[in-house]
Amino acid sequence: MLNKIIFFFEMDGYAFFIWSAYAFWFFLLTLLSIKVISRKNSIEKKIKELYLKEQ
Amino acid sequence: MLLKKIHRFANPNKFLKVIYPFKKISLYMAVFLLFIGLMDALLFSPPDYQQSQTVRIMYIHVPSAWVSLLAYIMIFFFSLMYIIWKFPLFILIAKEIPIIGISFTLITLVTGSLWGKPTWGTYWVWDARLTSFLVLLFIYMGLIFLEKAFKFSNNGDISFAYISIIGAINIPVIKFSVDWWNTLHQPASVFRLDGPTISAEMLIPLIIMSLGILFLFFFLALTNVESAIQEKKINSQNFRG
Amino acid sequence: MFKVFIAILQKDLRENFLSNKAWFSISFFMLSLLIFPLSFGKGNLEEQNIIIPAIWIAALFSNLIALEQMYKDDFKDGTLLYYSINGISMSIIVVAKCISHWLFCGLPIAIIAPICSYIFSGESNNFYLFLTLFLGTAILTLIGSPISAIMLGISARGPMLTFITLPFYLPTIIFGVMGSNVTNNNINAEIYLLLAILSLGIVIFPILTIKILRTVIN
Repeated sequence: MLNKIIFFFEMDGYAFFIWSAYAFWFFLLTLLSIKVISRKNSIEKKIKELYLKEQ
Repeated sequence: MLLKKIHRFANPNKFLKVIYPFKKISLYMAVFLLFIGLMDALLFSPPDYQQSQTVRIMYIHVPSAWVSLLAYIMIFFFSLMYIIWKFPLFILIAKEIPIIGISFTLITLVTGSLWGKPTWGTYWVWDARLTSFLVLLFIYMGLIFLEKAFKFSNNGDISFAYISIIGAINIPVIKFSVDWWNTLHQPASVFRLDGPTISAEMLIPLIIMSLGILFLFFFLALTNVESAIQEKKINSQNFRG
Repeated sequence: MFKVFIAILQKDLRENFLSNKAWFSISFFMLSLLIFPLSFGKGNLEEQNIIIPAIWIAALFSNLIALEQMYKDDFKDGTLLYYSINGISMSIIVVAKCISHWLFCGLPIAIIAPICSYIFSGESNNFYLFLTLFLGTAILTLIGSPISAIMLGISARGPMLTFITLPFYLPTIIFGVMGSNVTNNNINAEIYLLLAILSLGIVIFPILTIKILRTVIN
């Protein structure tokens, strides 16, 4: 079982290339999503404040 | 006829209501498909007989490349429609896409060079496909800088639209560069006239990953458009509810 | 119509000749060519075959420097608005501007470059360098003209203009350098490609410039 897992992570010796590619992909997409969603949240917050002010 | 149909959605408030369910659906679809696609790509798909395990990079490299091209094509069409029909909503949508497009372009370049090292022996070659993709990155950068530079001026929209139309010359060059020049980059194996040449076991995870990335792109773009519309509402001081 | 075109062209050329903005680009070309041998230190220029890339880089940047001034002065002192109010067709203005820009920033460089190449590297067969520069600088001017018109709107335009224009210049540079490096007398494909880009550009870019100028002025 352990052998199989290690074999999977080694990827026939190409571990560095494959895992760094996947890590970069995941990192950049997460960063982008966080940026987009936090922008959306801050704007919703602003709208709520303005709405309360108008009332 | 088409103009009338577009007119109905040109009202930003209506547009917000229309895109809300699409946004939710694309988020769920993106998470679901990316999860299945990653499992399939990393665990179940077979290694290639030539490139062995490194072929697994394809499942993130190729979808990102397709989406970054699609993002530019969308910017181009929205800019064109803005110039023809002068609806501000179109340029508002077009202006929110570059930041997503540049991320996918960067992913494509980095994963591509990480794939190139074990298969070609170098991280980078100055061949047509790679160079034109680098140019795409710089065009995206220029668009983002342009958008930032025009923050306090009112003819930024039209400049953005024209620059994106001039930059669209690069897109066919990227698509056909592998057919026109002899390069290290392998030719297209999925979108061909005589059907895909890739085996089904590898095609299925590729399609699932592409759909997942596509839905993620739609989710991010729609969220950005939503926040841009709301920002505009706040800035124009006629905020109602 | 032709008379008006000649009058505008004469005015542009006279202004360029009297002011330093056009002489600036050609002297910048010479100056930046001087930098390349110095930055190579004691390395031999003839062995490294650096002179053709150096000439192309210098030509590119001197063209970029003059590009910023292309419509700016006439836009700021109201000459463009005056033309458009008096019903002068925008196409005349754009063509005259492109020709005067190329006559001051393209043609002198294309003429000087073979001489510079001879002085630096001692090669005498420089006809292809002249030909590619002759076509290439015209393409650079044409591509730059709509972008220069777009940039009229913002205040801090120098670095922005450079950044946005450079990616569009790349195909010209690639084919130009490939075409200049040919030494035998065979007909080469790069010059035909440059001619194709030029003939497409003459059609497309002035039209784009006219549309942009109309929206900027109004």
